[in-house]
Amino acid sequence: MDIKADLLVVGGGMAGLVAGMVGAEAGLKVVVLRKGQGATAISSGAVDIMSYLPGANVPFANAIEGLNAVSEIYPLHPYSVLGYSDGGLPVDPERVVARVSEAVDWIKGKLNGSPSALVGDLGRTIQAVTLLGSSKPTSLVQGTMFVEGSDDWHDSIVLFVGFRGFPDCNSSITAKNFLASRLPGENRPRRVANCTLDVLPFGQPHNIYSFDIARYMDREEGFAELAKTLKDHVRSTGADFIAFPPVLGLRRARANKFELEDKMGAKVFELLAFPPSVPGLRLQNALESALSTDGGRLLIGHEAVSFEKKEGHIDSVAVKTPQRTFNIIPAAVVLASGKFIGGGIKGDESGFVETLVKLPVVDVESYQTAGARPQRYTNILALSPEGHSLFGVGVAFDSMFRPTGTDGQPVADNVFAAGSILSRYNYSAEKSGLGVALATGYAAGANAADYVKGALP
Amino acid sequence: MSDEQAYEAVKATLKAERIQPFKRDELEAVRSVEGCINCGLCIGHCPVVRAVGVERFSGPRSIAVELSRSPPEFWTTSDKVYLCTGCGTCREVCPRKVNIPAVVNMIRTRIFAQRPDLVPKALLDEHDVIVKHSLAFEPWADQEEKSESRKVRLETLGLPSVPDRVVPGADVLFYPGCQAEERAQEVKEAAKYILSYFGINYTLLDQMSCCGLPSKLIGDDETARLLAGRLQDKVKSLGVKKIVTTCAGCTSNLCDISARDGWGIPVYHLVEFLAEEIGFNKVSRPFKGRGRFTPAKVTIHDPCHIIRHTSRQIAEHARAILNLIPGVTIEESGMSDSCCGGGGMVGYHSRDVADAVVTENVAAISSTEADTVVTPCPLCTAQIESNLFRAGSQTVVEDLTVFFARRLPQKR
Repeated sequence: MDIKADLLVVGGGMAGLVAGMVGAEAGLKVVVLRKGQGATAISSGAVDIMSYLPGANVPFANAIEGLNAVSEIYPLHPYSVLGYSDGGLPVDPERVVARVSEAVDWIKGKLNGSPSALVGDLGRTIQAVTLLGSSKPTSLVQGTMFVEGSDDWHDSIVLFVGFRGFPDCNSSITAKNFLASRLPGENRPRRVANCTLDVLPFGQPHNIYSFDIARYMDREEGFAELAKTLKDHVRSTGADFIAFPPVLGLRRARANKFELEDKMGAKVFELLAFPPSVPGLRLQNALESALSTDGGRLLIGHEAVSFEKKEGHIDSVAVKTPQRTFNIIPAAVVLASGKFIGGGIKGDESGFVETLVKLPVVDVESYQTAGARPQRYTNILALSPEGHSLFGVGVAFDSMFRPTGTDGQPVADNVFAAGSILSRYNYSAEKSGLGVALATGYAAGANAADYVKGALP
Repeated sequence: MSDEQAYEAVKATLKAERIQPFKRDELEAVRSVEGCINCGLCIGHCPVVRAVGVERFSGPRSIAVELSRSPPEFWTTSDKVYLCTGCGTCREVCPRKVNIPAVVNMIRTRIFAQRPDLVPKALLDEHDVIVKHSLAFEPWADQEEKSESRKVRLETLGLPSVPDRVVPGADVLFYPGCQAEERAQEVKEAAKYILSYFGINYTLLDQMSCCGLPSKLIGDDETARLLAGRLQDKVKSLGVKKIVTTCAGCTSNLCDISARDGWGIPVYHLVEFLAEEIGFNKVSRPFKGRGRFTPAKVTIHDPCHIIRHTSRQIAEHARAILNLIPGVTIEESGMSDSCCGGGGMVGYHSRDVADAVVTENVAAISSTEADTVVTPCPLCTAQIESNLFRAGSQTVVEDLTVFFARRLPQKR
């Protein structure tokens, strides 16, 4: 049975869900396709806006400085496009900051009250502590991962918590690295300590998975067990801050944090973890339920497989489930199908390809990749501030975020793109992944809504 | 040595080394494993891991990346791979669509062929039943008792009796599946009533024969293919154009084998058939202008074999159909798409695991305060019913087919 929609969004990560919500807020009938889960669900659950200039060792002072720098240095960057006036150059940096800031305030409002409610703003960098004890500059973290006073550890005692049988976090290494990575006198705590708790979701102290503990914390008995076993460690160390791996719950994380702080008399926060992390899934879940609150329809396990185009207009997209195929007849489409994880872009020995519309794939500098092997876009160093330009390939786009063909013209008047399918930015070197997804999803969703209402300039 | 002889010689060595080459129709799933990026998202979503932890069930990723490459001794594989309920959640959340449920069946197939001593005893017993009767359940010894049980069920539910019919050349084959044929007979009766109510020219099989899904899940690929072939012959000789079933597992498996073996016949779940073939217009007509319906507060359970192995659209149809019935209000439990633990033949040998999986569903269902759980699958019905009962819940569980049929006006 075919479905008619004002707006069809292909992809259910940050960019797609945001575009879908914006469309639904504008009164459109929105359908979002989510084939699987992608980079948003796998993420650390922190939203980076713009932390580094590619090649730089030192992070920006804050995201506003980052956005200003990008506007000046990379006028084709997706963020810079937000600052175009009358559809073109030059970039107005203030407009870029204002539009990203608007998207950030909007998403904070959307996620308010959810387990992944976000804290932070563009004006300040949060130095989030990771499971390795290192710091990662970011702009927004979930409330459970934030603690007031974390920009100044001076004179405090920090207790790092691990769990017996939970291999992802060795709290002794976290504590040592945390201390070692801070120079004496410079924002260094007075003392660090670590402990290993016996909190056993399934009764045995080995092979415990982060999601096991998080789900256990969603249950009263699990949380009670945690509070009981933690108390002595807090008392004996005199901890001011308690750092947990991010396992405080999938649903009750916020309540658990506040209750623990109350019971322990110390500030509690979650560290940033490796993918896939509990906060990443919390973020995905919260975004999905925000979409449905807005009246958007999320089709899980549905994959867009082909499309029909007439007179520069995509008027039908074939959608596949494990055993069925049907068509969605959209007025406008937002392509937010991701890059290599989400599957929007694929690369193999025959070159890169955009998987649905077969758009040409360009590199970070807008040159056609034209069959070049992905290896060409890798750096000889695995880890370096330059990163790999591989992560900057994607589809080319115009000032309205419409994907463009080799002639530089939009491939269809009703198709927009958002998130990591876009080229001209390197999220892994910049640390800008979810930020660009948010800002471009917000903009592409609004453009698509304007298009449907006939209001697109 | 000719090429042919060389091929046979190599094939014999494979056998000695317990290496079982992949069948052509298995290759797509095998290749999908290459796409695994090892992210581990599936582990966080797997309902079995959620219920019993990674210590007991190592999770979908380990099946895809480690157990799929098990050495042919299968020592370390067998205690894990039989705990998968086959719900398909892993494949659904997987960014790369790795077909882990198919990999599970492939590993079970190889264990069954190479190391039957490692197959849980209960599954071998079940295998014997299937081979002997071509049914997933021991059939009634006494046909009269079977019909007596049917009569009691119909009377309790207030459903009319519609005689069985076998009509060669009918448009539609109604295939009830083993559970509705032998156990939950009311589902078969309700479906017959619905189909005749809407004037569908349907037929039954002269003799019910299993679709082969249980054999496939046991790892007995040979019997699974034999049963599929037998059913194909029956379907062809009846000359039907469509197949309708009321069982979630049969829906997805019949879709699979119909496509694999080129039947050229579409397969529908009854819910889907009502929505897409009969149409909401016609389906809503019996309820128009009738105000005497007793209010019912229902919550829905969506069977995995429908939503994750066939299409989530069918779950939307189920809600749309329930909404046509006056007096029915739907209370979403928030866990409707979570596996009930009844699949994958897990309950046959590890009841504790199957029942641990359903715990979350039971809690969510209880929190809705609905008076009835409806689900379009007799197997889910049985699994949820027994666990709700054990939890002391008053909530009734009813197959959606039965629930709908009971609310259709009866022609007098």
